[in-house]
Amino acid sequence: MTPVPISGGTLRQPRRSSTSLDRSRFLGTGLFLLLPVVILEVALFFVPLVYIFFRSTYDWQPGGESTFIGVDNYTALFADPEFWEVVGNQLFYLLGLPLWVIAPLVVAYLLRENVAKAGIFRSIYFLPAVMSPAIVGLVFRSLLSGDGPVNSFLNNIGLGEFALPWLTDAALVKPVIIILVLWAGFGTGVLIFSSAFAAVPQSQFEAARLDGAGFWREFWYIAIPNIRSTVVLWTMFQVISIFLFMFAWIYVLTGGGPGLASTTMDYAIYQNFMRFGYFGTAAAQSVVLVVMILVIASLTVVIPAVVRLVTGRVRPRAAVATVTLAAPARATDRAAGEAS
Amino acid sequence: MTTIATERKVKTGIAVLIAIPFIIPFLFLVSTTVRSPADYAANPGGLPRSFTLDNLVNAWNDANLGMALLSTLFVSVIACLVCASTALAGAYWFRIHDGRFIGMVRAVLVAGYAIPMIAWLIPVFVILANGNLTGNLFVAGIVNGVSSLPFALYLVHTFYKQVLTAEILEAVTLDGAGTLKAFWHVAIPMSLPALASVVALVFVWSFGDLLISATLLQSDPAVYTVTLAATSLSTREEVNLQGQAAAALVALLPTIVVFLFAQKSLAKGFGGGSEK
Repeated sequence: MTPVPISGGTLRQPRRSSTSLDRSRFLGTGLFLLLPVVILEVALFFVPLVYIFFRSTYDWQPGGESTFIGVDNYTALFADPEFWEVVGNQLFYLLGLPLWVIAPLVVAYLLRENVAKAGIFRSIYFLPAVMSPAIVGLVFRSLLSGDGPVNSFLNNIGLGEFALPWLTDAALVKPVIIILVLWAGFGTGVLIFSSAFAAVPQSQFEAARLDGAGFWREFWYIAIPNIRSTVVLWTMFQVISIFLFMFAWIYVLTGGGPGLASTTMDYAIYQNFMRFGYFGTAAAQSVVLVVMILVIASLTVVIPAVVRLVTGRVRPRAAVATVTLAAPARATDRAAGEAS
Repeated sequence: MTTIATERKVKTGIAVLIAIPFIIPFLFLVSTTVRSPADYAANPGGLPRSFTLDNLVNAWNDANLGMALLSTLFVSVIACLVCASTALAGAYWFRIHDGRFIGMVRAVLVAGYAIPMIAWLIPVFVILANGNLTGNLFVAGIVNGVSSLPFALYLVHTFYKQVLTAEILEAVTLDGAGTLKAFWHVAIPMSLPALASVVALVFVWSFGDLLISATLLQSDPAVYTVTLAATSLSTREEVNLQGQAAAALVALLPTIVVFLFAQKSLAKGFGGGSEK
């Protein structure tokens, strides 16, 4: 097992010449190439983050007189049952995680060989990835409305008792959204897992087959271990998505309702700021959301470390891969493959 | 051999079944767009028995979709230009420099992806509103481009690590080419596949964006993007479901065209540029 350099690029690992060459180079070389990225990100991401943190300690009235109130926004927020309902929703949505990871994993494996026109199926599944969540949300809102086509169809074929108020029932709406998130991300997952599977040496599958392994045994003992880091990355990607990119879906599908039953953090912040004018609350809530993301990100460092301790396995790149959110998956898999 | 043939049939059958939920929404969208409201009301879950383009024409006029499409196109092109140019340049800089501290700077820039958009967009909105810059499509384009920048930077950098090998970088330096020259004549021509992925992704994302336009452009219907126009159409009482479906169809078509022509680049982009 060889440790893999943190900078990635497993392939050029034995050659250190590039590194020494780079080290000798003056840092300022071509700084004008770097500056645009740094300036744009600092101006649009990092300065605003500091600003919103600063404003979360004020009774913030944009364009008017703001007064410093310390942590009052936070104490009010944490005392608000509605805030906890939204946090609860966010955690409920995480229950969809096994589904969002396992479904594309199994299907990518299914499509790996011996399927007619596998490429066309991958393309069809991938289509939602290019479509605006807002527009797709509109379509599903119509499809799933009380007297909409889905219920009408169910009634037509005599399954009227399954014609449910999909988006207007507080108990149903979150599971329905979990399924819609699966619909939206499934094809991307299938694509990513498919290309990870393509990098696994065919000989491993053949050897397993000679040993008499069936579909599931092969899947579990050969396929999954070989692409473990890609699975971790995809899982992270899904967690981030459910915390950060649900706004358009919720805005269009349910408006957060019924009540607050489907409201996510980002939608609640938008509503508080843009609609209700609770500017300070929205600022405090933004800070809480950022902290939640940080906690989750650090968990992805802590959990692999704990797993490492418990199982005694050394996986040098796992933690790095998850911290940067998307490390070169294939290189990692190759390293893992060599390691095992 | 027959077992393999059977397995093939079963697997392909499963793949077909899974494809159904991905096709139905389109069929519904197209059929609802071309049906008369009365026909739809009679049997929402059935097949259309009428054909009309009135819904499309009405939606086009009601939501000013032509103008909205142009606005969205403008925003998306600006976003692509901003994101692709800065990501290529930044990724090249990170390719020719190395070291722990620089690696950390790059990690921070890439981690920008995980900053909740709503958390930075609200202060940006407040600052822009102070400068009277809301309702400005050019600004919305820049914001859209920057929102994709962390992912694009990561993607191009990953690609550079694969194609700009140490040998190539060494040869370029030995040739005495300056950094800008090397970037322009060597790195950019070699980065075309990654560039295609970035452009395709950023176009698709900014074309479909709702949060940025709902925040920065909400106040002025004259500059509504097509997602904003289509979604606000749905809140208007006098517009029926057929009109909404027509607007949705118009809003989806451009990205589906991009999908048809740039599917490979898109797929590579979503993989973070890690697959060749």
